[in-house]
Amino acid sequence: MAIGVAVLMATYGVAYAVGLRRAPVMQAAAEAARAAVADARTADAMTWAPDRLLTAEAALRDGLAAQRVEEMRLWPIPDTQRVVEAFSVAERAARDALGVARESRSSAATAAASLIADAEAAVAASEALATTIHLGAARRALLAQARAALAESRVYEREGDFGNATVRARQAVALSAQMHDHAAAVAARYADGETLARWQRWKDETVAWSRREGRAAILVSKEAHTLTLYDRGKAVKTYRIDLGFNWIADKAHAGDGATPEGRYRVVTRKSRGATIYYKALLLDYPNQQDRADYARARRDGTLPASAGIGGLIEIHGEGGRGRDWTKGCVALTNPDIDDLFTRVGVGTPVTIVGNDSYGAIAEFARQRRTGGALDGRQP
Amino acid sequence: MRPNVKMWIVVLGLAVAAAGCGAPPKADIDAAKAALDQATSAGAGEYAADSLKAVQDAQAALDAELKAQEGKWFASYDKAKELAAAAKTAGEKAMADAAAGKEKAKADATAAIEEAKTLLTEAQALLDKAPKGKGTAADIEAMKGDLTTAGTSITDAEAALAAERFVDARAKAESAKAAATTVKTAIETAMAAKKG
Repeated sequence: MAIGVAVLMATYGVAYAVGLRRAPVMQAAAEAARAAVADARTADAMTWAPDRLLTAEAALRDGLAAQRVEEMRLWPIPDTQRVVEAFSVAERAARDALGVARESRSSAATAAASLIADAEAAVAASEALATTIHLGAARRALLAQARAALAESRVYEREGDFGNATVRARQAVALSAQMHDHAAAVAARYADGETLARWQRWKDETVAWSRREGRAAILVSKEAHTLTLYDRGKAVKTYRIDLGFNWIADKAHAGDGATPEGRYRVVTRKSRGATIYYKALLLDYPNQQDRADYARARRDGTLPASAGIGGLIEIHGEGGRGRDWTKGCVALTNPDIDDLFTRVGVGTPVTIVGNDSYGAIAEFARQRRTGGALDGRQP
Repeated sequence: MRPNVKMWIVVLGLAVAAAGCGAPPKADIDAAKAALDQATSAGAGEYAADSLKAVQDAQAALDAELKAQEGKWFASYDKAKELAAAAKTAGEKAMADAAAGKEKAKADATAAIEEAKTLLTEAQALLDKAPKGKGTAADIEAMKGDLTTAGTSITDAEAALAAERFVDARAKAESAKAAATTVKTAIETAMAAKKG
């Protein structure tokens, strides 16, 4: 009897020792599974791979339960294989969740970054357009809203909220596209064959007059921002100019900021003291054609009743600011107006054209009309 | 035979008593589950992610213990009680951490809105002082429009703050700050150039 008890106790002791050696194996498997689930959670698998994470968590619970069952068995040698396998299932599921979460997050981050880059390019293009083409308050608000949407998309991106980052970046692109559509409509005249031909004809007639009369004549090209002085039909000097803040349009009424297009003459020379802009050459705007256009616009109702035709269009000094700031005049630097003053007088023809060739603005309008992508190309 | 019958009755009675003692601690389990739910509802997922993970781990350990005991003839729920208490404590901590995290997010958003308001006021004051003339009228009008949009962003940020959408509030405030700063910088640059 005593021998039997001793044998039993010895057997149990050996089994207990074997069990003690196996416990760390189960614990290591448990820790590995826990760590894998923790990694998946840290990678925000609950957002990016929720089903897979839930599967892994359920498998981890199964593993822990299996481990507890083995720990509580009367017979001290646990079924390590069963427990380790259960934790392995959990670990694999967690690694799967981690991989999918990382991939999904990375894809979303890449897509958001790409859209934000598009939005940045679109808004930058719009900023450039805004300095080239005068924007009314409504269009200016579009630009401000596009900037705001872009700024917001960057904040969402930093927060890892790629969904909202994408939405706001798309809004910035869409708002910029609306601005580009407006700009293209404004620029369309520069691609219109009839208008280009008229500007070319004005230029040719002006140069021909200068040659025939042996006198000076002035050609202002708005897009090129140049004033070219012709003498006896030859271009003798070209000056850089600033124009009206809405220079791209043809002047329609007072206060529109547009520089008029047409054939004018110098009617008054204003020396220093006679103008706040250093020196000035007053033009005969509005001419007969301007008056006819204005009357027609009033009849058609495209101009408000309170809008006057405007006047006091000059070539004057105080220019060289590198931006278009006048209300419609042509501004030169003071040394340039000094120089020009010595070369021209009352009666000198001044022809103002949008452009004398098919230029960048025309190309921009054409591309936009043919559905060209918003790629930041500027007039 | 009689003593054997008595012995079996005693054994059976002890077994029944043992089985009766082995019922799962429902109240503790429910309290632990409620703490997890409350922490989640309090926004622990967003504002106290690490604490929520600790609760989830504690809950997983409790679930595993309950599952392990389910299959036993003589179940013991002492450890389950301990784990339920630990899960409840972790849940309460996550709830408190979530509340603190939410307060911080609210404070950050509020601070961003206040900064945006200050910048907007400064930009508006500068714009009022900006020299008005033939060369600046169009620029001033454009900047006024930009500041109006910034003001709208601040209004939107305040609405988002009131709705406890703190990231939205911060995003709107940041965009207003950027717009106001751009205008401020433009005016200051122009003024410096004029002085120079």
